[in-house]
Amino acid sequence: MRPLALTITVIFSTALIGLLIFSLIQGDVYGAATELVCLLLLWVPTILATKDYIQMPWPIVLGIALALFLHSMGLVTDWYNTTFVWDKITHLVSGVILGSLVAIELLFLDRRTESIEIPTIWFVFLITIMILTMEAAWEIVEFTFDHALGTNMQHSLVDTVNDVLTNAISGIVAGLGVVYYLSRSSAEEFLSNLRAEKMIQWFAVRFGRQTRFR
Amino acid sequence: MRRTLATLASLITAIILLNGAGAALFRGDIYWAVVAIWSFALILLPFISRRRIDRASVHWMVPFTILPYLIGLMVGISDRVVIPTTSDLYWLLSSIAIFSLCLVTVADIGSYSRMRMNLNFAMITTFILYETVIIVQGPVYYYSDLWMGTDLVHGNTDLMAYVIFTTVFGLVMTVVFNYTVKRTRLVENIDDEVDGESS
Repeated sequence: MRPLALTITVIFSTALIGLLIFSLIQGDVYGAATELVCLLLLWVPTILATKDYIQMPWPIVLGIALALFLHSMGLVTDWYNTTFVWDKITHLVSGVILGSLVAIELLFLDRRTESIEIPTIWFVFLITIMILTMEAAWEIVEFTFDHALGTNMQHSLVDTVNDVLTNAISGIVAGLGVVYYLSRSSAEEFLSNLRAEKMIQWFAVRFGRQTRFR
Repeated sequence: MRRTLATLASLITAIILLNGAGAALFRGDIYWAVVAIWSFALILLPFISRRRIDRASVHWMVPFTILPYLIGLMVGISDRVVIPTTSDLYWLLSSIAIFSLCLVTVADIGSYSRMRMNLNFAMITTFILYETVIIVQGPVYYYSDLWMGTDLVHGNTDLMAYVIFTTVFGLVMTVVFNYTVKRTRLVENIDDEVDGESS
């Protein structure tokens, strides 16, 4: 993995370990479990880079780290319950980062498969609906956890609908950001720098040669 | 003859949709008004498009979008809500209608825009668009109740139960449709090969 991306991972890992220890001392099992999961997720880009699947650019690694850290901070400090905007901030940041990951996947499909072509402007549409679908899945997970495990992840109807709206905004922001980036930079150069041949091969096998759908 | 029947079907569907849009607006139901107008636009598109493109093969599914409006007309407009949003009937009809709408939309995007899709990508995009249309119903209904005095959503549990049911049903429809199309194409390919050999 590239040095800057690895440095970011190590710094935020240290911060998350600190939060994990604090939660354990406080006896907050739910918080500690969440911080542990965040810590494991934080290392996924590094593991993928080590196995030559993909070399994530450092801004995306930073975004992933920030999203996971903000989520953990919200639990440790109880800002999720005391500060209305905290939940929206974490949804916004997570949505934008996920949008960038979706954009990478769409670039794989557009540039490396024969039967799929995605004009740049359509990235806004596809990223937005993908983010909203992930938001729907997340709300289902929260609802299920609340009813199965007695957690309090979904606070109210207002909270749920505002989360949906926030993620709609994050999807549009991410989509517009991607379109702007692609208008000023070379997509081929970006894809080459990812060194993601193994991952691209995986996509090409599953989405590659098929007849056109209409 | 086939073209005449298709045009007639489109005309009847369009009339029902316009009627449905009006009824929805009368009830303050922006969501279903937009769905009706969107479906109407899909019907209109082949007729007004300057590019002479044959309709996408899935256009026969557009009439499914009228199901909620058809049942609504049959039931009659007496309350602010025609079909309670907590009823199984609403969940079922809305799933079918929205899925059909999304499938035809994705197919038309492939026909009329520069985007090109294969079956896998198109079906995934259809499901993702479907899920988006489902989940945005929450904010639309909530703020409609808040600002327009409607009575469309009755709590987080009701909304999430609807989202979960329609998500599962949408997955089922996507898988079934995908399998059916692949199987149909497989049969057509085999028939073509057999015809080629016998001739």
